[in-house]
Amino acid sequence: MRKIWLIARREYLYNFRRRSFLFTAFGVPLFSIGMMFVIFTLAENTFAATGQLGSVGYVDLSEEGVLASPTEQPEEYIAFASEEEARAAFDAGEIGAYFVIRPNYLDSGLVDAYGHDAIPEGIEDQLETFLQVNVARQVPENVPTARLLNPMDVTVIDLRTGAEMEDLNAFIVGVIFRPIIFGMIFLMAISTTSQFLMSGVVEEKENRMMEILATSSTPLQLLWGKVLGLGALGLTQVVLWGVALFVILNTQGGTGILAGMSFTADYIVVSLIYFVLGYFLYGAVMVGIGAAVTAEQEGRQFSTVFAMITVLPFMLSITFFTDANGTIPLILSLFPLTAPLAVIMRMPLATVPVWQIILSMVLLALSTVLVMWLAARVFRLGMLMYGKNLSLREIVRAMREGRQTMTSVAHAQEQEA
Amino acid sequence: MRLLALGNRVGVCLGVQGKMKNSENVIQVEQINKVFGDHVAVDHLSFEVEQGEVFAFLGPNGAGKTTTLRIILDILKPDSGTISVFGGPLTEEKKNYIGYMPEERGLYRNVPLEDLLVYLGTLKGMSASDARKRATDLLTRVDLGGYLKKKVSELSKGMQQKVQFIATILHRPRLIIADEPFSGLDPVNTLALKDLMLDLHKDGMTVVMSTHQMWQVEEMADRLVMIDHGRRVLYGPVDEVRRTYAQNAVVVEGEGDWAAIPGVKDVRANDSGRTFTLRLAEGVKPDDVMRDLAISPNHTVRSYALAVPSLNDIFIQVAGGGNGNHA
Repeated sequence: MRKIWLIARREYLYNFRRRSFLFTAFGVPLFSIGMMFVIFTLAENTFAATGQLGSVGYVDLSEEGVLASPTEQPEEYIAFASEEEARAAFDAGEIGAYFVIRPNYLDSGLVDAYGHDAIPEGIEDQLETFLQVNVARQVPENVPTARLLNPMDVTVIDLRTGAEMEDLNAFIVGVIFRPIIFGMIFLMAISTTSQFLMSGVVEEKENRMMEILATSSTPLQLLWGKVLGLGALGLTQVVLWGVALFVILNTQGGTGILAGMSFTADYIVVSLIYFVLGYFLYGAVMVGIGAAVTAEQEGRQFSTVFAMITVLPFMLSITFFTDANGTIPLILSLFPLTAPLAVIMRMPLATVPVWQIILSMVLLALSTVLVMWLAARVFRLGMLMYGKNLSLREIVRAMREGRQTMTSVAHAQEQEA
Repeated sequence: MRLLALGNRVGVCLGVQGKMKNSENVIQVEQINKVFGDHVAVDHLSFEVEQGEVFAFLGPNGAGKTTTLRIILDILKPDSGTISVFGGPLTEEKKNYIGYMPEERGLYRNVPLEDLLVYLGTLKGMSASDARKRATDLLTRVDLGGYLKKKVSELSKGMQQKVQFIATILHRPRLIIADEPFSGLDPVNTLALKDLMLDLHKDGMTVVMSTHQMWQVEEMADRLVMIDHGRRVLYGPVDEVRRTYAQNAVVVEGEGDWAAIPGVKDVRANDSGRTFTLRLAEGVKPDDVMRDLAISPNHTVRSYALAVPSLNDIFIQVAGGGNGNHA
């Protein structure tokens, strides 16, 4: 136990200090927060830019005199009687731009904007609202202006669950963003750490540490130490990202877009269980690959295949959105490699039957045990196999034929070396 | 049979031979076999390593030395045969008493020496503080005291090898198994490591080392086993092995017509004519020749010794040029 702890601690500390981990764990969330900040600042600037132009003129040529006696006129807006006057004011530098409401405006909606360079979107939005408010005044009094401006307040009711969702925005966020964001965090954490796991094993084979470690501990201690140490690292990453997500959700700009995203306790607990089981399964596969190959490059080729399988739920996400309890999502929830992501994606979309979650977890746990056992085998056999690169065919043959060939391949390499 | 003409080395090993030995075997290898595909790496090999001795493991490249050492260390399993270490199978606890220096050196490259050595020491059951203190002491002893915070990748090859050796002995093992411990080291560093090893040996540590450098075996080892094609071809105390391979010949230094002495079959000059190897006819004893020389007025003898072959000669003779076939 002590040795497992020592190995786990070393793996955790060593990999924590890796540049690539620091980048993924801290850099990506910081970058995301930074990006959010920049986006909101830019957005705010677009609106703030209304001030940059100084005053804005408008000429109402509409037959109905939409803006003849306007309400809610923005402060910087100045009315002109004719285009010529507006132009003169523009040339004199009194206004930065001006709009002309064309005579057939009510039928056509035609408005011309004059100015130098582009006219900030904020100003157009401002004019739009200004026009909406004043056009609304033309309709009969019993129609409230608010209804014209905001013609529907949707309540979305899920027929399967009977649950009510507050509005469309929340629905979209809850349905689309939550599974994808959770899935992404899960995938990133698992792939970063299991990649470290694999490259660590390959590195120890390459720099011959393996022989020394093998005479200081058992292959199983080594395997568990590595898997646990890096698993803890993966959890660290999840926590860091969770904190970042929380910060983003609570920044001013974030609330509008992501406010509908809420996490229930059971969702977080189930996600964590899947994270742990999924990590062990994926990690064991990666250790096995690391032990079976001789160079990291080669290991990546194999791990890519497994990564592709793991992200299948993403690739088939349309089937989740159309019917989260359909056949394909169900199969993906039961197949161990795709189960974690599939269930994490399904849960916000539908009420997943409890038996499916339990069956999926049991299958995942069983296959994790099986793969760990296989990985330990391959690890013990492949531990000392190093030297020049093996061809893909040789590895497959070696793995198929087992111990005898695997070690003899290693031996043959030593003879050649 | 070639004439082995290096009698001037007689007695080099005698000093080591008389050492006290405990009869308990540290390692007992019995009839082990290991086959890789259709290549027989180890073929019914048996030998014992006694408590407190320096045991040399010899053989040409590809003879099965590394495979045998890995089997002893339980990195590989033998196809058949038994291994006993410290009186039984190798357990986890026993691993803590063994230091292994693999043939191909390996250390984490991007880790400071201190962290690396403390990690390896604690894996062998040391406390972190003890490991740190001893690592500092040992590094200082091999002139690497200032490198505690340096990374392995920042060290020269010779320095790395010294660090590797320190990693092997850090936890005060009772047995070290070193695969080619001095290969690639310059004479100064070789001496430094040899001194360190012999010091530990004096404190009772058993040393098993595989090597190609025969003079080191002659200088350090008590007993040896030589294998070729996985089979044992030589085994026993170094001196005994050498005596077994001694031919009926003597090496003399002096002047005179050596061929004129009765019983001398032929004469060969060594060392640019400073010494001569006299091969004796069958049944002629070296003592008889010495007596004749002593009374001969035509000869001056400054030294007279049995022509005992060096291990190098024996190695070449036994391995039969096998080197080239297995490299």
